[in-house]
Amino acid sequence: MDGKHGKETLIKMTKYQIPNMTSGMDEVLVDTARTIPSFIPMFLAFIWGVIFIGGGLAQKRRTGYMDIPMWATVASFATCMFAAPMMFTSGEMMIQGTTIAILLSITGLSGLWLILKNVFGR
Amino acid sequence: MGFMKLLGALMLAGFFMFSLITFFVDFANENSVAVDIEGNDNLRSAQTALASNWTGVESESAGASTIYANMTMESGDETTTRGTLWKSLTAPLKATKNIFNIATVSLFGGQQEDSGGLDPKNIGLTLLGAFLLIATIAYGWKAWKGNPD
Repeated sequence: MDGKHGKETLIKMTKYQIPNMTSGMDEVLVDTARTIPSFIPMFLAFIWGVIFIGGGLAQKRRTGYMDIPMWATVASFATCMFAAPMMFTSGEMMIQGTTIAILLSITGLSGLWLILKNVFGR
Repeated sequence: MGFMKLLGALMLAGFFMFSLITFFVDFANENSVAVDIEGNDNLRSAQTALASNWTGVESESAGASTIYANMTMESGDETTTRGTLWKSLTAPLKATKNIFNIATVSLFGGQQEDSGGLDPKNIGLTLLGAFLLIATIAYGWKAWKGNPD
């Protein structure tokens, strides 16, 4: 509009359609993932973080000790269970095979950490 | 005994990773999902490698029991002076290495073949793996010698 101040050269944020909220939570997830591909990995990271921090801090409040490998394993496992049904959608994919591989690697490493900690730490 | 705990722990860790990958692959197959899990080479090769580790555990424990059965001792001998019996049980360690392999490839992008050396992204994981390896060796040594602490 205002050529003098060069406003046309500004990089604008991508606009997207508001997902159809009336057709259920799954449609919202699919619509958003279609528009923003990084939404699902961030969503999974959010689930992981909530379980890890929430569970760990709750344990720390009660026992004064936070079992980090255990909560990492629990959070990874729960995130895996969230990720599995996301493979169902046909058409535009919600989740990629690479994301599953990363998730499985983190779960495996957490499990190894938990098991080795229980061997070395006692 | 520490050695038995370590051996069992590494075997359980390998089995955990194997069953996790198998669960996801079978889940994808049975429900004919859109995501091609079997097309992911990293997961597929890790599953195959871990499965062969299990065959390795079986044959190696059979070999160890053969060594044990054929072992002769004079009166007054130390029982496991040389530890020959346990030297052949390497499959749990290989399973651990395979877990680190898939993590390296999936999380850190793997080693670059053309660079000819260690990728800077892998140094952290390599350090962790090296520490675990050294600690494992030291722990196994401690289990029957009792030297390092």
